Amino acid sequence: MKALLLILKNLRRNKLRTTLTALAVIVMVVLCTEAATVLFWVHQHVHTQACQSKLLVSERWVAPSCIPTRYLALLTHQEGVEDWTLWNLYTGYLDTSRQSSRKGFGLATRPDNLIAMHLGLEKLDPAAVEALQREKTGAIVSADLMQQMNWKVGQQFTVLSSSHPHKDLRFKIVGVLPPGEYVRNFFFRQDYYEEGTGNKETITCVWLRLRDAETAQRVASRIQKQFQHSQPELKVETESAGVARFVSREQALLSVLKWVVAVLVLDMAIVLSNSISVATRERRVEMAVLKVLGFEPVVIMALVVGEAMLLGAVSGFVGAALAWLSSTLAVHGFLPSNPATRIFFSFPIQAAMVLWGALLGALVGFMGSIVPAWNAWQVKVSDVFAKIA
Amino acid sequence: MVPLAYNYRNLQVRWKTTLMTAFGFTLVVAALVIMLAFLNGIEAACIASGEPENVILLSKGNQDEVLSQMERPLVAQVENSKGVAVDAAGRPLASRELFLAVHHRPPEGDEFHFLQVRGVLPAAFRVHSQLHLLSGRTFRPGQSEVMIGKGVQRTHHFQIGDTLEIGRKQWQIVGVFESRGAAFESELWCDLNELASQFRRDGLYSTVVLRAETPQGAEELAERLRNSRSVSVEALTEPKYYQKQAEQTRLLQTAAWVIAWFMGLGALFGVMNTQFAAIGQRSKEIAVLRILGFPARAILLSFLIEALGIAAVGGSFGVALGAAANGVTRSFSLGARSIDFAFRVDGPIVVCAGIFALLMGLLGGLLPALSAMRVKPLEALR
Repeated sequence: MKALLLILKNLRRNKLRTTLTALAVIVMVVLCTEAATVLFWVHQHVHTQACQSKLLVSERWVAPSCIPTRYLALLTHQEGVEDWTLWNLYTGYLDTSRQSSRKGFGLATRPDNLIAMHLGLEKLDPAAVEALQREKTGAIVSADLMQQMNWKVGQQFTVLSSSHPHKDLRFKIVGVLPPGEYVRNFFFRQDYYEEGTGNKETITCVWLRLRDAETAQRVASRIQKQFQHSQPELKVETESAGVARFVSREQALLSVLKWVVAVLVLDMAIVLSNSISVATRERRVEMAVLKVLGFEPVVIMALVVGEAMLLGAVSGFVGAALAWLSSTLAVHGFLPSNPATRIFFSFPIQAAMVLWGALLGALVGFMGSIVPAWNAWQVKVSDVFAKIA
Repeated sequence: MVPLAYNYRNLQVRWKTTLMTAFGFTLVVAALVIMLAFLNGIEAACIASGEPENVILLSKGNQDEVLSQMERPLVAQVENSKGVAVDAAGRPLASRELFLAVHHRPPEGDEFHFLQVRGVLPAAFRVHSQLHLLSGRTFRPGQSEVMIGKGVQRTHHFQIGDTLEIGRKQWQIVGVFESRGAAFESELWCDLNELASQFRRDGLYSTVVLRAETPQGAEELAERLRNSRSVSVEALTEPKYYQKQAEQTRLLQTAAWVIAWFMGLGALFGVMNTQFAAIGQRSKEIAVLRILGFPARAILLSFLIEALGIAAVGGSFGVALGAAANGVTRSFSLGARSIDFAFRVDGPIVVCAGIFALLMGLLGGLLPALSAMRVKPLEALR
């Protein structure tokens, strides 16, 4: 407790320096939190158990996939399949400007098990699903699209289709998707898709939910074998593998993101190290006095490390909290929708990241304080007093 | 003005702090250079992909080859449009193409990868004049042979003579081509009819590329086809088409700058800290300088020069570090297709990064320099 008080007093001694150091760390932690959220998201989707017990069935060779509808019964009646759904991709422009930034990706699917079959829809309002079941032209639209197009629930919109030329469909918004997983998507009913496009023959892909990862592997190989000589042949992969395949296409972007995170961490350590070094240099006499009073060098070293870690942890906490707050405000439409907010808050920051920010700050503080703490350890009482004399 | 030697020696005396602050700048500027080189490389690959004499046609409402589908009668109609150049035999210079994203599973791995396959007819080599063979030969129609772009070779380590399982057939690689860094280098080219029958796409085409005599002629041809009442297609000159593809990176460009400014802000606070500490240590020196007759603005300038010096040194090393990424090749997805590109550090990026570093140094040094200017000599010496 006494040590903590001493550390706090030291930090308060040069308020300007403490504030500037804290500001530097806060700014960098804000950015780090957002970048780390994206990287965590990717990791979570590639490695979670839920994603490994769900199978994605699509056409073996070509994308976009076209599976004959007649395959559906054979796939969904496989032993071990607990639940299933399907997707039909329907893309188009959301207004007549036909700009790529105004493109939406519709997913025609079964409404009855929408929440159960889609990771990331756990927080979707069940009332929206009920409304979708009642309203044939209904659509549950992503929060991002709602904000960008300034739409309201109950409003109608038309998609100028690019995937199905001359088959523009009109939808009525019955709900909003929780932010996160589906950024430019909207879900609508498969029967409306069939009626509107006239395509009853094919589906883009089928999702199967199995009991566990082991069953999933078994069913996957069974389906693959069963359709090996069919035309078209099928490809079966776990949701994790599917995400990993798409993520591998963005490998360059992820590498740049990882580089940015590394630079930020290193930069924070440098700023903290510099600040603590200056503080240590200014307090050499005090440290010599402490040694004379009987303080062990290790205690003095711990005081220096503690100062950096406390400053880092508090700044990290504040930085991550700010990032979380901005993300929450953006998600709920309190921040204006512009390219910057759309990029940075497409992956909503979880409240738990605030603790992660504090931990990161403390870790960076530790890294940054090693050299100054070592210098503090090395302070020689005789040298310091000789200089004063 | 305070002699520059004074600043130089001061920086030398505090060399550890100076180096650390400069290193902070190095990292931030290097990150900025790499992010900009990444986007620049993608844009360069897109720009290189277009020949101004060529007009690319897609099915109405589509901006992406992967989703575009045109039927034979429509294609036959557009090939004979007014303004399409003809070859020596009097045939229109038109290339019917089928572009497919195909799943490929390497023999040694469990994971699927995408391969981009373009089925073409011999006319394609006259229409896409940038394309030329690096090694091997062109494919023979109907023989299950493919040529690969050098980007594909680099990414997947394929060699001439290797066989690939695409669909139910084994295809043999017979040649490697390049196309001046264009998006085609990320593709496999093979016989259109063989590819179409393999994947149940007979009589369907993703795109038709028409060649006009001149770039102006291509513009007019595209305009005419867009406004035509008899044919319903999307028509764009190739440079415009690829420019539109590159527009997808605009959002990333905004992100890169937002990240850079945030990082710069962190470095800026770092410089402020260093400079305030320097002023704290040198308040007596500042007082002496004032007593010697140096005006307040000379002190301001002197401290600003120090901050700018740190930023310039750090920034220069940052540019050099970032430039090490120049030429590194990666692939990136643009819409439903992916292109191979090389990180590209060029003059404008170096200038941008330099200005960025100096601006951060200037902003970071300004407040401490103002506070140095306000040091009261008598109080400081007391």
